[in-house]
Amino acid sequence: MRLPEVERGASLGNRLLIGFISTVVRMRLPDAARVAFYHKNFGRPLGAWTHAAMRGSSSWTIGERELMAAMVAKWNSCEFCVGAHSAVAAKQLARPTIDQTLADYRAAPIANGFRATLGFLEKMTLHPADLSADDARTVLRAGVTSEALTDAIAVASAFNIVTRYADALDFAIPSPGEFDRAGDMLLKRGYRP
Amino acid sequence: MAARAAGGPPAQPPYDELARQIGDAASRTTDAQVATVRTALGSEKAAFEVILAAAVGAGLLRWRLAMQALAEANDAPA
Repeated sequence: MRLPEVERGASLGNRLLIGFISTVVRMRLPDAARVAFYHKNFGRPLGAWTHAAMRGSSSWTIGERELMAAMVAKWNSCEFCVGAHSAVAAKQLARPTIDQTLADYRAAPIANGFRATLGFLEKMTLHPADLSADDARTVLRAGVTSEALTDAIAVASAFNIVTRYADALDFAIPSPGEFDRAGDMLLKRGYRP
Repeated sequence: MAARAAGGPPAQPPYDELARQIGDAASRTTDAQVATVRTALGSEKAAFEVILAAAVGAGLLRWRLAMQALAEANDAPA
């Protein structure tokens, strides 16, 4: 963590809360949660957006949306978010499917609509200025509705924000076991501010 | 900062370099880039706000362009 005040908490109340939660869950509270506690004017609206995108009503399952988040993290080279969101996805999807999708989504055993959507999200993440109506039509022709593509765009937009501050702040990387436990919490509680 | 991270015109130094870095490739942000901004601003909270603003700018740019592509596809289906 490049800003020590974010890691330890800005106020006595925050520091006590971080210590309490870390004790209860028996692991270091991940830096993503510390950011939310540190600056509520950012944390609340971002948390509300992320929760709506990841847990709100959608034709995508929670596992699929978590895998989209992990894919955006992969394209942005964000190790923390790949670990965090593939761990949540693994609560609902088979781990080999997640690993194959992360390695090469074009060849992974996933539905064609999901694959086409990931193609759109990849371009949106890496070359946003090149996106065109034809890219959206490709997804719609694969059987994805306009509403479902909108939901996927909301997920990818949120994680194009989260991955950037996670890397700029240099989030500490939890162990695989800690990612797994944090995944249980994220599945249960979501991203509510 | 948000506009700079979304490919907009340069911001004031030393914030410009950090905002551009976060927009282009946040994973290659360095300790020195963050420390320089923190020193210039005199507070961690202000440096945090620069980082978050740049990240939000990059995300919102993608939201706008992706929704524009979808709207054009819906307006003129192939």
